[in-house]
Amino acid sequence: MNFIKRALLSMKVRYFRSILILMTFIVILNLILSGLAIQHATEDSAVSARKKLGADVTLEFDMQSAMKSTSTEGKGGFGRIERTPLLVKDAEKLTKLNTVKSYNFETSTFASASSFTEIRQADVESDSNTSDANKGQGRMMGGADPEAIDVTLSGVRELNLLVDFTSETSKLTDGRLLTVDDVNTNNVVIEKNLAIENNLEVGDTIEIASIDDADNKLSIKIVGIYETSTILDENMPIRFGAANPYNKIYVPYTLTALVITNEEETDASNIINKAVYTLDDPLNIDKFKEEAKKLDIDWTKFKLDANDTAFETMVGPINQVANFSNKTVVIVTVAGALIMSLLLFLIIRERTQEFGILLSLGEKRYKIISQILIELVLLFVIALGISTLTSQKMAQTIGNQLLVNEVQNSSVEENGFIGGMRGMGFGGQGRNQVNPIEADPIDAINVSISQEEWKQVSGIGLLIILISTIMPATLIVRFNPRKILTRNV
Amino acid sequence: MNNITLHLEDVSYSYNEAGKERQILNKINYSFEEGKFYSIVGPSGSGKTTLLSVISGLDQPKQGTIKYKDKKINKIGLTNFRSKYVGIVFQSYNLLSYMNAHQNVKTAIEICGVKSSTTITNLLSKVGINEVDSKRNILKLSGGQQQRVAIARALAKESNLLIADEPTGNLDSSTAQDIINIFKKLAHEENKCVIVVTHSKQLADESDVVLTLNDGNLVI
Repeated sequence: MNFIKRALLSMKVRYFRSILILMTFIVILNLILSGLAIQHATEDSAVSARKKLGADVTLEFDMQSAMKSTSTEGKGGFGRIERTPLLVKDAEKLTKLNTVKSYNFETSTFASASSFTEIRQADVESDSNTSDANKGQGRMMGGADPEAIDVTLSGVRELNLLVDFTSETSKLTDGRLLTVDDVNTNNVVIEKNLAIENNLEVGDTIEIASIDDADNKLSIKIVGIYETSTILDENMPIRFGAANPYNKIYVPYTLTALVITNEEETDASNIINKAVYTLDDPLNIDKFKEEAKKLDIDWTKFKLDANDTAFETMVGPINQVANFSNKTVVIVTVAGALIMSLLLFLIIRERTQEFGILLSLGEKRYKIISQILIELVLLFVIALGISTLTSQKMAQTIGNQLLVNEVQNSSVEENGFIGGMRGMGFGGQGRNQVNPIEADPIDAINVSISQEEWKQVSGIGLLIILISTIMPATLIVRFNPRKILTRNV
Repeated sequence: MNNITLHLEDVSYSYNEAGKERQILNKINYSFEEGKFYSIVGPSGSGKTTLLSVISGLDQPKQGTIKYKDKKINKIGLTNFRSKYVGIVFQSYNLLSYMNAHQNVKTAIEICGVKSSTTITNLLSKVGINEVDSKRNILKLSGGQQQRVAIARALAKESNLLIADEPTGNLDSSTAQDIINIFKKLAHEENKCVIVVTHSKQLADESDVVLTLNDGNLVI
């Protein structure tokens, strides 16, 4: 009977011991596979979240950092925050990076309607409280008369890249959208209601004026008309024409500078509010940020934001689960390896007499070790097969339960975030942030055992079996049969 | 001299005990011939089992040479020697417990790698194990039956040399006599060299040559 047949016979006859080893393997493998599967599922979910949030990264002034540095300078209270302008030449440095597929520059300002009438809310004008509030807002706008703040000029490089249009909140109804060819021109796209109210059509020219200086007028040419589904927030305390989404006019980003006469911003033609870079793959965001940080830009004043807050909200609970599963995998793997090693050591010690008998019959040492290896590897393969089937269900149950707990724990923070996000919503530009409703924490994961995990566990398991078998078995069979049979080893 | 199966030349064996070298076998010179039934007797601790281990290739002498049919067993290789040229029968049988009698004998044949001219059933039948018993797990057989299986396993290699350590030590006198008869038959009818280490006077009396091991020396 050769060593392969002996291995099979030994497994069959010593079925109780075989079942015991099999059960031990199954328990350990289930735990390791479940841990790995949850780990993998959480990684997948994080990737999905990143993909869901898109591949846009925004370069803009870091207000939080500025507020922080102002407070740490010890000026007391809220000091004046110096807003460092974002220069077009700086923003263009990032466009050279390989991961950038397209980009947009965005800026914004207000203007007065000169040759047309903005759309006004019927109930706004006579409200004295609102009027006072408007005056306050006017002061915030550099002392401009709030009555003159009729329209919002939203400057862009390419209008089709703006989230308003990609999300179809706004749709072109006539003419065309602004493209890169419109930069340095006076071409604009106006809202359908504004066009109807003033009998305006594509090709018409209208006049706007600076809110600070009514004599500073600018002729703009309508090249497109869009329709927006955004509605004015009736609860907004400050009301002026520019707050109405119908009064938003999309212009080339270079045009906004022409209506700004504020002394501090006279060199506004090279300044933008932010630059939005659309990457070739959402998964390249970290790479993009890493490469961007190497460029000559003052990163103490500017930041790159890839909807990071929303991303953290979405993946926060799942990261907690991932942390737990990572630790579990390490602990179970180490503990499992120890248990398997001890078990195999005991099994091999128990078979010392058998080794001695086989050696006395002239069996070769490697065949004796091979017999034991075949037995254990076969049991391991069976256990791996069973565990592959059972661990998926187990991992799904554990993963879901862990995630539900983490989502519940994070619900308070989540509500705070959503409230904050909703507060940002006034119909201005810059809606490249994810919709807050979409930024709900991920509360379900799809756990499945991948080939990669299967290979990983097989490799680790087989390695443990090889080491735990060969080492003690070699220690025994290196002796002569007499010594083994007289149990002097 | 061509009927010498095993030749011992200045074979010595010693081991270290509490810092002192204890001599067990002291330059033993002897030739075992085929067709003879030898018994080696001696007091406990005289080194009988050590001598048996050395001549069966289970252990190595510290000094001296052992030749199997003019070939040094070191040259043959101890593993090779055990697998092909010597059949060993132990007092405690040393059968593989997860096998039946048939499988135990088959294992020896496969390890030996030489195709046996006789069937396993015939081998077992020769030592008094019937077909039904040959299929039973080895642990379900009596001591006498197990020893018979051990002899059949030793014979499976078709070697000329059969070495047994206290083969009747665990058996009743009737069964012991059966085993002795098998050894005698193997030596006298099949021309094998049978060497048995024993305390049994019954066995020693029936052997052709009785050798006594005393103070590490082998004397007739």
